[in-house]
Amino acid sequence: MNDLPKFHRRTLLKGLGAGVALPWLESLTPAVRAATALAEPPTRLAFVFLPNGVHAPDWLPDPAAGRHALSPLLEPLTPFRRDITVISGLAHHNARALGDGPGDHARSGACFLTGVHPTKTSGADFRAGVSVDQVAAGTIGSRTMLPSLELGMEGGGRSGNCDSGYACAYSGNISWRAPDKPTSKETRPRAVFERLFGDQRDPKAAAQRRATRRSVLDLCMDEARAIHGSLARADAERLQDYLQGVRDLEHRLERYERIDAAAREPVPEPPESPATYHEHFDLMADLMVAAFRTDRTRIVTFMMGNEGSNRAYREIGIRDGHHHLTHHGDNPEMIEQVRQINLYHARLFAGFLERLSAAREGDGSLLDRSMIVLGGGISDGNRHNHEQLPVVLAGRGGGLSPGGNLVLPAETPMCNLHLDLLARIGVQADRFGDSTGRIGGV
Amino acid sequence: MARSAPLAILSVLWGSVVAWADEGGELIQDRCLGCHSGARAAGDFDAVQLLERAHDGTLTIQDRAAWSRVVDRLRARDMPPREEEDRPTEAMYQAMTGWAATRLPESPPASGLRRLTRHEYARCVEAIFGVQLDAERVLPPDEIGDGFDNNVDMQTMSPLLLERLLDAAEHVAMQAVDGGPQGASTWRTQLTARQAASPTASLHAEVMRILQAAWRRPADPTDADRMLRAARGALGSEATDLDMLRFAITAALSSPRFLFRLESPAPHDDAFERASRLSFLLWGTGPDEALLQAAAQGRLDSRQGLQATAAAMLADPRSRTMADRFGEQWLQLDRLLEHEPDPKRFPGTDRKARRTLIQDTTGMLHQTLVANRPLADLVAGSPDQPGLTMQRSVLMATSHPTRTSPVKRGKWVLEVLLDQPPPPAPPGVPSLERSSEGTQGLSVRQVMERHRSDPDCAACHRTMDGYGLAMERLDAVGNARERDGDAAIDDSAELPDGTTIRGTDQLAAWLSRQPAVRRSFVRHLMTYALGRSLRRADQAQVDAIVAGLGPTAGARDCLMQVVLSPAFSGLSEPAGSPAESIGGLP
Repeated sequence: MNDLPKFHRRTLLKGLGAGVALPWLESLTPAVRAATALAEPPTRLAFVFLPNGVHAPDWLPDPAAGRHALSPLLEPLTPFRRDITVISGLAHHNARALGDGPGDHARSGACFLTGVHPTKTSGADFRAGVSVDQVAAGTIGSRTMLPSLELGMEGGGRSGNCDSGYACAYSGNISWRAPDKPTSKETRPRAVFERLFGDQRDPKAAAQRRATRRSVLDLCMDEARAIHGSLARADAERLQDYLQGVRDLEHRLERYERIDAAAREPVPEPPESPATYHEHFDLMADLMVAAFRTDRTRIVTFMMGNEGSNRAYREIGIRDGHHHLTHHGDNPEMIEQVRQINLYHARLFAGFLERLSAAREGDGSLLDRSMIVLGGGISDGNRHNHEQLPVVLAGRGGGLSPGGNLVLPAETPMCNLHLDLLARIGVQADRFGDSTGRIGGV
Repeated sequence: MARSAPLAILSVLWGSVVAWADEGGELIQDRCLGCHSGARAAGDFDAVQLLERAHDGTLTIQDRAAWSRVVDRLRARDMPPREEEDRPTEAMYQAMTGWAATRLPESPPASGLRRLTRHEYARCVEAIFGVQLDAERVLPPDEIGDGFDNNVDMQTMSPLLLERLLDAAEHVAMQAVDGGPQGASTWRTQLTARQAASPTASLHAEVMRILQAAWRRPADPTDADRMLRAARGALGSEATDLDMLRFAITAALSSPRFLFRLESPAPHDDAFERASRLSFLLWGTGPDEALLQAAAQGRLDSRQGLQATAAAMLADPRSRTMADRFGEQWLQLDRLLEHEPDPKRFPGTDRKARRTLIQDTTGMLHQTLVANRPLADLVAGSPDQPGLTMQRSVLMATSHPTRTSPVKRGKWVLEVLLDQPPPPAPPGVPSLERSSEGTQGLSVRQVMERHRSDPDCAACHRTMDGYGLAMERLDAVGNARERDGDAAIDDSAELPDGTTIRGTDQLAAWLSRQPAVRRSFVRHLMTYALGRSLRRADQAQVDAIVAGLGPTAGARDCLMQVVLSPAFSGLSEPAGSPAESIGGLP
């Protein structure tokens, strides 16, 4: 179990079908900057979600250990210790039961980026809140081809309920574009690639396809308008969703025409089905970096697992499900397996940071332009508590100045961090969720 | 009935509220508030104000979750606690449950505008164009509400989904017109035949044909005109007929008229909508030409006509789709696709093998429906076909990767077969492995017995574990075994009603005698057929249907009653006639 596969950049590049460093890593920056005529490279924002909490005693920073000492489970982040802030003291009060009984996993997922206490239901009256990434996308999303990108490692959907009477949508989504509308996430690297870069294979055919698609969308818009009038109010509202989607797609097709040719430089195509979780994660990391790099989007959410995931991490020798193991009841063998999973996730996350720091942009790296949050809505998986949340903030985007461990007063709302990130990416808001003000010290 | 002291005090404090409008509410006050009131209320659940609002009829949507739990606990008969000596009688429970259920606050009916699920989308394009589409690969998953992926309360149209739908439409158009890996599509073959038979057959007529099939009602010639004009505009004057058709197919499949099932507001009065509902329920796809014709001729406008049509549709092999989609979700087998038994210990259980196991089980459900056999047969099985609780798919889906889980199996029996979901485990619940020392070599059963010796755990587990323990002779993938760890298998169990049984055969026999199984089937089927979370009126229809079904009623009888119910059919029940009894006296 201690013999974990080492993080190997070569291998995953092979997975992407390229034996050398990715082409866009070297050549793109000046072109992108020229094409988009930016005085400063834009700030990027990503949230990487950890399911099932962590083994908190070994994950959270030890206040006595010094400002730059990493906890045992964050050791894989050592190469980036000057680029991260490990925050302790954040809490999500609205992920607590508040009279609704069990269901901490569902509430963790639904509350993580919304700060809202979700309605306990397995169907009707389904409701959480608008998530921070979508608030940001609402303001700055129109500047890029995709307002935001939602990714995950596990699909949604499962019959029965996912957690104690809560619909699965709560634990399967962290991004919500409306209180009753989770933003569906993409889990297949190839599909993400197609969405972001699929038009690169045969540019001429692609241009024809875009033109045809615009005509189809025009027709659809007409259809929808014709029907709209004959519908009952609630139904008409639902059709609005469709109309909005059609408009978004039209907008995207327009924007595509304006993307500079250099930003369409070929991105290697990922394989259809990644062989392991490790490879799957690395492909997603490559795609996130490529999306940032080519400015297809500036906002990403990424779930390393659905909340409550019971995945068995066999590639690191763990045969039982993750969620099952987190309820270890102080059994040392189970704790050790949870630690191994936490370490594994930290190691993969370090790989993502490595990619961001290897991507040069202007006189810095992409990591210097990014605000990356790694975290979850449950602190300790065994206890289901929602204070002392595990949160790492990486990058120097938006003027962040990473500085090792940051101990905040207990019960500082996680939404204070969200509010701060919003301000840094250019969204002025007085409040977000249950925020009491912007977080200090980052 | 005797009142406890705290309650007497409460009654004084509560002078104005003690006069309940009817018995159920009064009983709840008498039986529940003794413990559930004040700062030290049992389970931290102070029900005083909630009950007051329930009485006044002022419960709000925010109260819904809490009040639902009250209803659930009463329905499960596990409050007041079973340890209480003075337990309410069955009649009292019925009064309390009935009163509480009618006070459950309801959200106004959600939008009925439903879009095709990804599975429906794939079935539709297959039916119309003969193009195979792997829905689970091409389209993002639908959110599940109350157990089913067609729940309109959960449906949204995310930008990602719309984009994928357009991709899919383009892909289907190409495959339909140009052929795919399997060669020419059935649609293209038919098109060629049509053109050979009548060389003057126009593009316009072909587009009309596509629109009628895709939009599930007779097409309007002006729609076809518009589409052809747009195609010409987009493709230029050099476009061939096939180019034009490709465009028309893409546009028809991207239109809200295809993607949404447009229905007029209730009460439903449109035979085409009824045909569409029927077809999506039984075939998982839109109506074919014959069914549209039946609608046009008014054959779906009477209960007799509807029933005859539905019966014929069930007999058609296409009804297998319903058994697959409904069955997979009712029986919670879809989780098997993500659940990987430990391949070292249980080889031969890869995704493909698990898919086959699911289909074995849903195939059995299909046979039960088509042959109108009683649900008891499905549960009990037959010499050549194991009953539901002995199906490998079920046993595997309710196990951990490495071992069985009597708890999961018990929970499955309660949720799926008896429709009495157990209350969720409290937070910080110790897991089975809590007592770490000394569990090595113990059987799952022995570890569980330790767990249950904790009084905190005993109350709930007593309602679940018996079913699972009786299934212990079948391991985490459904293989028979004689030992678990160092212990010989002991598959004796005490069920919540006090019956003692041994092994899966006796469990299946016991379950097959439970009327709750029929209710569960009808309730789940109604949820699937209506494609939404059931409202109170729907629950009442479920109750009425179940009351009309006798012990020998077949699975098809249950289905037909759902089809004929006013909520589904839009047809009112025959005036004055009591609900007909089907399958013997209830």
